Amino acid sequence: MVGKKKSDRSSRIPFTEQAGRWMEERPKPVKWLLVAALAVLIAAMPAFGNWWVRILINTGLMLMCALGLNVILGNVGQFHLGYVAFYGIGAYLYAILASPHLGLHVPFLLVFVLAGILTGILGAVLSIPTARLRGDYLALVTLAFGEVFYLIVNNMQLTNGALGIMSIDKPDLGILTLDSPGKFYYAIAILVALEAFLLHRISQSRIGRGMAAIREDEDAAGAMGLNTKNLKILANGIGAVPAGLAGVLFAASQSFVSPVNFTSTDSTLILSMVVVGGTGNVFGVILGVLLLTILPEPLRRYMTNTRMLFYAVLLLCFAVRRPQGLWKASHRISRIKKDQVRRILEAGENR
Amino acid sequence: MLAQQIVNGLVSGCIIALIALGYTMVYGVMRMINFAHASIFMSGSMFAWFMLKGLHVIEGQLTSETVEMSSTSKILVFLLVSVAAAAFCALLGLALERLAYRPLQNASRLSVVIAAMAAGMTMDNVAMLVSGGSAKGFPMLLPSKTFTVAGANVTSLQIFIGGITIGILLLLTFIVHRTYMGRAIRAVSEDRAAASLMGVNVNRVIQVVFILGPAIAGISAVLYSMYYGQSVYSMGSQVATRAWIAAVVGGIGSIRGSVAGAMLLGLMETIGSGYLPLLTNGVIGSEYSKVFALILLMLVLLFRPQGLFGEPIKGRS
Repeated sequence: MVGKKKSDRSSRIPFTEQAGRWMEERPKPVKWLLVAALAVLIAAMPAFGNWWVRILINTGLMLMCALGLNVILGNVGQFHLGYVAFYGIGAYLYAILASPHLGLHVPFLLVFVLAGILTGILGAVLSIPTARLRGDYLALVTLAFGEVFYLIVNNMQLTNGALGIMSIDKPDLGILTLDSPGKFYYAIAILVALEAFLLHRISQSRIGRGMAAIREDEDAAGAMGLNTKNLKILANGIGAVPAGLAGVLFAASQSFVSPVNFTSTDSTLILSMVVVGGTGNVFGVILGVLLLTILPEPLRRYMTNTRMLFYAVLLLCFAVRRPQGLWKASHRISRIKKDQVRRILEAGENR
Repeated sequence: MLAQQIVNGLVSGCIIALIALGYTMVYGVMRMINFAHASIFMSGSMFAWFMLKGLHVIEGQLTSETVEMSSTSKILVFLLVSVAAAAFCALLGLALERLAYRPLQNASRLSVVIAAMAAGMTMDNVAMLVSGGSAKGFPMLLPSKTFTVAGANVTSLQIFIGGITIGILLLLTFIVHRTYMGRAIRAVSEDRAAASLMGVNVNRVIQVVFILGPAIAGISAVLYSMYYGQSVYSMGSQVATRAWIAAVVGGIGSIRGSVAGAMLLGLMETIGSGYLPLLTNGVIGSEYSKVFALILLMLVLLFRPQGLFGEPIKGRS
């Protein structure tokens, strides 16, 4: 008797993968049209009012962070539990260097580049002691690092402790100054698109495939000749950079930073966006961020106290029921593999 | 002054040790840090506080003092509440294992970590909502006497904490080395597959570990609350980092290691934060004690990743 077996359900292709494949199979002009429509939609956002633009700015910044975390978490499979520290380093760097706090007014672009380099190096260096060891240890080190960052920033004179730093300069880019939410929005939108594109290309490159191999089976990757230690350090370095850059933008757009934005709960928040969306998959991460930053906004009025509880329970459900997230990673790779395997098997049978 | 720092360091080390034991035991059988352990610890303290309220031992807003009671009845209440908190934490541990660990035993390690963290966050937030977000004063239930030893003031509570820690250490060592279940636990930590082939019920062993660790944390929670006088929903995160760093430094998977690591950490923290302001003329204050923990962790991971008492890690596994 043909009945409903458990295997029937697992061999059904999930909706997001079907959608992804459908998209891929559309002819080129349709794809370009869709991209253009998306661009127009994004460009038209400020017409909906400042409140909405501010939400989108936050979403954009979270996107930058989540895409960066995705490199470490999704591409290489290492747990990074203190990611918000990089965000905070970028933010505080700009706050200290471009505000009345110390009287310095270093140009925005300089701090922007500097923050990226600094967080990149820091991210890589932080992973060096644990590159030889298993992923658990990196989780511990990064968790501790995140907490220590909060501790230092909350207590240091240089960062003005719990009071934070105010009246941070607006970015002066020479040709224009970003002094309104609308302008920030466009700048961030462009940066996010650039970052998503770059990181996606990296994940499809040789380096990216090497990282994916480490994620799937580190011992096998090592046996295949990959330098797992260096790749892990590289991934940690690359992954930390977007957070630093986003931090600088955050400080510039808010004109105010304080330690309260950079607690370990915020690290877990960014983590949850990556996990819920789909670790390892750039599109999945974007989906996850959009879901978790835009959806709660209308609910904010009703759920101020229970917001974090909602997040926690959601994360728990996702982690237990669908650990790979909404949009699974590397379905393209597995499809190619499946085709190749099928051809090899058929060639063998026809002998 | 140094003697006082040593005493304080050892006592805070004892409390951390009891929590670190939970981390180390779960790691031993599951090769996984139980990120929700600290939240179970905090829940135990909250539970104890609400129980005290329910028993009308404490009333009203100012709950750091009990109502009029004889000291013997206070001691009885302490015993009752400790056992109840231990049982509550054990139940939470079992529930955690059932809901967040067992469904994911074949999934990637990342999902288990995230599930545990999410479970911990859930517990923290529930506690925050239930307690209204404020710290609750916790009464001292044991008679309080202060002794002076070698220039340091030692309270009876500190002696009691030290005694309980040694007692639990001995009890746990006895269980692990002299009972059948202990042997089963050791077998599963060494080689899970081989243990199950030898007829050990691995699921049962894991359940036992998830009872023992949290139960000890529950007792520690009551002691911690009495020692620091309060019970607050953020307690877990205050101790979590120090506790698992202690476990890793001492050698994760080793019971002796957790206690040793915790003592070391406790001493380092108190002595360091005691002398650091003096050494740096007040530039670096005593709030930075957690930085010591991180530095210790990094050093240990660089030069001796298996910790003080752990087995050498052969590259990867």
